[in-house]
Amino acid sequence: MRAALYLNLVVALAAALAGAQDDGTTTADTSPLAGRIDELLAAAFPEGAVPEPPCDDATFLRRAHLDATGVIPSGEAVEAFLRDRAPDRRARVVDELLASPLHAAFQAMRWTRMLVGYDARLPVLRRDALLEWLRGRFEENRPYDEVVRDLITATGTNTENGAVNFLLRYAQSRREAAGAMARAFLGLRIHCAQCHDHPYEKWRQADYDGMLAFFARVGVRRVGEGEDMRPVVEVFERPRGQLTVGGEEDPGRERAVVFPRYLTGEGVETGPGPHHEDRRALFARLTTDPANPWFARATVNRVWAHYMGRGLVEPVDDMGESSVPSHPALLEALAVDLAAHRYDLRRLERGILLSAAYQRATASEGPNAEDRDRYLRRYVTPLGPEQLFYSVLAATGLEDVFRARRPKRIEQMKNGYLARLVVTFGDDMMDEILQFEGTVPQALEMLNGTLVNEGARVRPESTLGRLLQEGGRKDMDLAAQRVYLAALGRLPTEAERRRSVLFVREAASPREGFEDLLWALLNSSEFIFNH
Amino acid sequence: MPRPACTDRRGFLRLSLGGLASALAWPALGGARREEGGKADRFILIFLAGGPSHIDTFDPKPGAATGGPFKAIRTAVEGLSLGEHLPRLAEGARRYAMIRSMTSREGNHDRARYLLHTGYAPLSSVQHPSMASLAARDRRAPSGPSADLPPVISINGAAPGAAFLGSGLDPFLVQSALKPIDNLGMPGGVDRARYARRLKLLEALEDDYSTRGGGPEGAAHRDVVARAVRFMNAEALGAFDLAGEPEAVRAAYGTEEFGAGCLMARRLVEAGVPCVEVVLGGWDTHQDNFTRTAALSGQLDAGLSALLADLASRELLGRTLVVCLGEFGRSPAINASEGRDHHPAAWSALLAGGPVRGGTVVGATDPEGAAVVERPVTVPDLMATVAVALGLDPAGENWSPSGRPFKVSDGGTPVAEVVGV
Repeated sequence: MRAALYLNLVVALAAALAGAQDDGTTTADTSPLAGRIDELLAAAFPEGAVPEPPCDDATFLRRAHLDATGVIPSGEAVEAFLRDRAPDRRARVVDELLASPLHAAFQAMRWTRMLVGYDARLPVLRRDALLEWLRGRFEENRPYDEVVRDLITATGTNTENGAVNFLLRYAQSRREAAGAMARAFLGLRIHCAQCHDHPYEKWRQADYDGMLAFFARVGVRRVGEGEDMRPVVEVFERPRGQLTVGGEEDPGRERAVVFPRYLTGEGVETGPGPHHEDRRALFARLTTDPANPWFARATVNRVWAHYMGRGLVEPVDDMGESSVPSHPALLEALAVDLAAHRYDLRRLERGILLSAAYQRATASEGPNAEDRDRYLRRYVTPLGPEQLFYSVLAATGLEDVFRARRPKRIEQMKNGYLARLVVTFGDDMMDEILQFEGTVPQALEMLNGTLVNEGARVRPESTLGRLLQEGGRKDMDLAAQRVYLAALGRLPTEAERRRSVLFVREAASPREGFEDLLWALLNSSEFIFNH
Repeated sequence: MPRPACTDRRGFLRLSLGGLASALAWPALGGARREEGGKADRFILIFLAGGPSHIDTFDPKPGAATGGPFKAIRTAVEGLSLGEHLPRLAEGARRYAMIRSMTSREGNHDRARYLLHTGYAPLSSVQHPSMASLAARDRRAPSGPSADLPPVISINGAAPGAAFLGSGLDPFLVQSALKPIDNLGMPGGVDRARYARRLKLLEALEDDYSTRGGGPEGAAHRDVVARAVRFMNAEALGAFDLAGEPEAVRAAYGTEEFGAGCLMARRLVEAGVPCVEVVLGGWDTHQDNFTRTAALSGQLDAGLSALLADLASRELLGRTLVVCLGEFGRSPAINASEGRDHHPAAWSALLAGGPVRGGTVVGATDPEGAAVVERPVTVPDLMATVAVALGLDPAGENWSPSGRPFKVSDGGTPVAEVVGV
């Protein structure tokens, strides 16, 4: 019965696809920002260049889900989208995705990584609390400048105010804090000026110290212990205190008190007498001030790089004077737009997602294959660690397997998975190396690791379990189609379907056959990449 | 330790993996190695992560107000004394050279670690390859038992990678020398025949992907999977397995993670792996410097001295360069938490094996260990020295993807007293 239903469905899908003329890129409520993006990109096309056409619907859906929510669409969502013939279907998907809780959660994951890395060795740093705090802000779509001010000025305990965990990341390496702030919020790398003048940017050691002095009065005190035996600490602002440099600990320099001075030159009185200004509040204000030349541009560049696979400035956290944006006018226009709309990140994301540039097909051959920064094609990127983890969970149905009975198992698996694949360095900065550009440990994890191999098993509630329960043994054609929809977000071609069925038939049992089919799909390039 | 997945690895590989496995070996990038007198073709880096206190280990300053509570002990080499918690290294001092006049300017862990691995301060525009990846490039075995092992292996901690030389020369991380390597065996419930069937289907999927225009990304992924499969089935996999070593040997190295890592390093270079790093972390002693340095010194003393002795007795020391250092030294000033803070201005490095002249002491620091007063050696100088010992031309150029040339050593001069040039 179920099998027959599925047959009807697939026939209907095929008919719909055959009759499809439009590419679904029409937007009912056109985003002026998207239009502006396409206009400014087109102005910088090389002479005679013709951008790739829009990608097909299945590709678009997988891409948008991965970029906006960090996870591939379910097989059911793909089926529904392929049936949808409305001309504005892509715009509706974009709006649904941006409004979904998964979007806020994924955004919070990325920001948490940017702010404190993956490293969880510092006992006072409660990464989960920061993640949860950010998730709440992004879910409400709070203005981003406000979010940043809250992070910089946060006080309170690491359990009650998740935002303080950003500063606590530097509790044992206080001198790093200024470099981290500049990198995260201004897209500037000034941390080498911590020890010496920057080799080719204009930053001097004195500039670094001036930035650091804003944080000279941050106090941290232990106030108890959590149920997890980890310390509960409070971050507060002391009424006085100065940053001193040089002297015994720093033999190359004379001992001196450093007063706060922002990279733009603004600072605090350096004369005698008490200085009761809230230094962090001032730093926060200067960071998000419309006159700050870096803040909006850095924010735009990060968001753009995430969705487009390449920043307008690369690397995204190195936007100093010696870097050249690929599209200066576009970067400027997006920064102005962001500031003019109360730092509404979702507006920016929507503009990008609805642009023709975002929805282009990839090109590995032809004149656009060589394009590196004109956005004539979609740039293929490997799935990031979280994207890969959650996508395997979704494709295999492991999420449903565990959700009911062992909800904590998912977190455990994720932590183990990240610990194995994300190599953490050093003690001070967040220079984790993401070994996701294709490495042997990653390949071994996918080939032999528990995530994929537990996932690609027939068990109640797993993708394969449901499939076999619902008649997959009898109608292998349909079962193969569903495995493709679940894993790759598209229907198999005729040849792929036939090969899959033959493969399952030749296996020791249908169960084994489907397990091996899903395993192979999850290990394939098509799964590993966002294209 | 990884258990052999099957009795006849070679046969399995040939039979089942077809093109996927055989066509894509670890990329052999260089030609045959030149045999030269005294040049090392193996490289072991013992990395003391966190920055060890030179004053409490390799450059003791008894009598100085900031010298700390440790005594200095005499060594087999005239003019060289060590911190009291390194007695076995003191005994074996003829095996290594000590540079006591290292100096640099990077006081941030990550930046200094990068510098000490690549010879360059981090730049945003390009990532530099580590010396190990560079050395492994033309020292890896094109065939033979070790050809299927990663050519750069990092034990007990991660190491900077190959950058533009390609992920094939990235260090493979063994998380802990005391634990089995993650994911190297076939998943439970899957036997050889079934695994081979899986790989065959995967190969067909990858064929389709490349026919549809998979591009360079698809080809790279395919390559990396093939390398992983070859590694799983490598004949030389037993080199990771310490179980066969006599109890006395394991005890001599020390049974903690570091000692086991040093023993694994010896087994790996013996099996033909060109570059191995063993990480001993915990030297970032802002608090309790003396308790912690004493404990770490005990591990270092056992592991490193056993490694040098073992390499020598197996006639491997002549072809294996061993370097031991951290990312910087620590301050003479003792802070309020009985700790010492970062101090890149003056610190020490130990070198042994290959053409290194054992028993040499280079340079000196002032009576407190704060500044270099004799024969300063910069990191580029050290890198040039390492390059010469490994038979690489310090002025040899590598090209980054953007077409910028990078010298093996950034303008450094080899320390002649150490490698005799």
